[in-house]
Amino acid sequence: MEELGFKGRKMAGIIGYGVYIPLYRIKTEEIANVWGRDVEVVKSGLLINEKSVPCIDEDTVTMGIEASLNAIKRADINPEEIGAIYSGSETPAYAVKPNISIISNAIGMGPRHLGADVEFACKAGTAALQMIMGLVSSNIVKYGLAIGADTGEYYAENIGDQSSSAGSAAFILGNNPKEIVAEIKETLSFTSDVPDFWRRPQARYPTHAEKFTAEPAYFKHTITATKLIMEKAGIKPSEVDHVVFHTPNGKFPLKVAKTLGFTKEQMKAGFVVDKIGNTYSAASLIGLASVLDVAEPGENIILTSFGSGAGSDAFYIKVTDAIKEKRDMAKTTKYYIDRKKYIDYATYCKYTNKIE
Amino acid sequence: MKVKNQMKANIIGAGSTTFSEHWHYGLREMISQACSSALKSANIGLKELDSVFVANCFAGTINGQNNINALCSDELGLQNCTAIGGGDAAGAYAIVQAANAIMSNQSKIALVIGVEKMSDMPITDITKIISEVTEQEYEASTGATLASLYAMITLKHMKMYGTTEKQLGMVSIKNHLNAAENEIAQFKFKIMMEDIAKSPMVADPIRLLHSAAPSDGCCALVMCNEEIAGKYKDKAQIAGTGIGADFMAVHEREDITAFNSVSSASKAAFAQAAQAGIKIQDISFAEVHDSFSIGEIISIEDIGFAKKGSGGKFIEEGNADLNGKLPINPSGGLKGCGHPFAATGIRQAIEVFYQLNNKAGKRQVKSPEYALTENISGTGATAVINIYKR
Repeated sequence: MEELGFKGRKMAGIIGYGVYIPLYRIKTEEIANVWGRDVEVVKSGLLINEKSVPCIDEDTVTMGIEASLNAIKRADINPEEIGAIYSGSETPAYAVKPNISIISNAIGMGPRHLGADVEFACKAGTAALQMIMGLVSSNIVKYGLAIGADTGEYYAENIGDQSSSAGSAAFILGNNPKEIVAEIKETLSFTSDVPDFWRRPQARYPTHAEKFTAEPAYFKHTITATKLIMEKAGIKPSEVDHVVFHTPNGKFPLKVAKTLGFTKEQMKAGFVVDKIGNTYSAASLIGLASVLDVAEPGENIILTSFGSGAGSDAFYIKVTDAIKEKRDMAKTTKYYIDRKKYIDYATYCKYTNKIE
Repeated sequence: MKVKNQMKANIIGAGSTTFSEHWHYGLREMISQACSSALKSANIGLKELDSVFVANCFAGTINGQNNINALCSDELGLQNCTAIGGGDAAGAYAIVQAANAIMSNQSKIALVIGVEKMSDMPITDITKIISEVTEQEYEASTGATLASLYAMITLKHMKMYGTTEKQLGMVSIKNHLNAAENEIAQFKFKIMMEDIAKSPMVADPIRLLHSAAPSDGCCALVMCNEEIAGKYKDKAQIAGTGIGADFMAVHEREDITAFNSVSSASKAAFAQAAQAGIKIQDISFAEVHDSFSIGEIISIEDIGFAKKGSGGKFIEEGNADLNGKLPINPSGGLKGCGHPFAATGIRQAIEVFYQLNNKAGKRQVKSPEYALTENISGTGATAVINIYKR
């Protein structure tokens, strides 16, 4: 059944946002050379030069906390006033014990809040965002916090290990127009039962159905959801200022953009996968944060995420005047991207527990 | 073995799915599509068929579906359906069995199907399964893949005859060019030498763009006796058939650059075709088995189109081009079309049917009279050659 929209409800908008990307990076060639892969073929196939690596003591809880603290700085609110927190991840610290109870405690939310952990592969973060939108726009909570965070990982010898990386993004929503830096004017989702990528309960690493993850999964859902949101918003590709897609690699989102009639210019501000890899549930949200760091008031944004299994969440967002005073109140996405230290393959294996 | 044939078998209709990753179609859907199309092409109904032959290689392993003839009977509502194996030559074997049934008057109108669905598993698993067409005890079980065996054959051919990487590349380039004009083909895009050189190494010196890709597809033919064929304007008659065999394991062969199965099959096929007055120099075009580029080069030599060792030169001089002296793989071949194993032999016959009846559109060979198809299994363990006339 189609969503009903926001008629009669308050608009939920972004009042604060933040990201966290770990310090460490490993270059594409560092991994490719170990496995005897042609570096140029891998680089041109994935359009990823390097990816972020969590340190041995980092996980989706620690990264979720860092991103949330940045979001709180920008929102400029008392964290105790955040009434709901949802964290989307496919690599939570525990299979059973939520990230959010640790995060909410660490950031000073106090015990009085709604919340749970969310899973939908790489779109868990945007799913969390939609859940917060519901609570905020219906005025059940004054402020809500949505997090997307992952420490993506693969079998060491699998090509997927060239792209899977770590990062987090947090968005605080409110319904007071004076506080909103970016209005979320429309949202919708497109979901179907497509088993393109999954992880069984006892498995450490996911399974990837190779080419099946492309046309029937990523492209079908991303393209359909984007077409639907543009129709709902009543806009054409040429009228969009910034567009952000989920980034399993650099090629897929560029192909979607080309298919739908978006230009590389429209993609530019939100395209960071070449520098940090695929941060899974954080990917499209880090892309959004990167756009908000540079977008001008009045500009609009189309964001479409993708989660395997499969589905896409699409958003039509409009930036307000308030963005200008808020965005420098915390570290920018560019700060975290540029702040880096390269490690070798052995260190990479140590930090990601590939050596046990 | 010389057989005096009074009655020849004919193709009067053809149909096919496209070759692709058919995420939305299973074996049943592909069989239905191809067969409906073939019956429509021959303007006949299911009730008029009295035999069905279905070629398949891997449905048991990849799709968990053995008993493929039972599946066909179920899906089409037809009796008398026989399953035909034979590795990637299964398609041509099925045509031969249908022809035998027709020529011995066991069948008047036969439906011949080749079906394969290879996209349902990761490529590493598919590579292992494809090794089933090589020799198990000494080759597959020790880790040899079809590509690695063809790589050794390629290296030896290059060493013995000076066959070059350029000549190997020209096979792929030509076949992609031809495939661009073929509705069925999976790889309808041009490639250049630089693309081939940049493509990943599969088994040195064979690169990805020297290798036919496993695919999903189903092809079907309607075949009949001469009496019924007489009522049709569009037809192709089998004038000669040859089936050859060689040692299965490459290392058992005295000369690994020679496909003795192909030369035996060619000899037998032309011996039969001689009854219709057809000689090798009369062949207007040929569809050959280019599972890897070297396959086309060796096929050209061992069928007898060129001297041993000069297959590469034959390609380089443009003789095999669409407007060349003897077009090879005007359809795009296995490289351009894709290679759903058991469907390939039927696809080759479909190309012959279209070409001989001037229905090949932009890839039409000029005024073809006689055609040859060559379908190989594995590294040349067996080969089936059919010679056609209108």
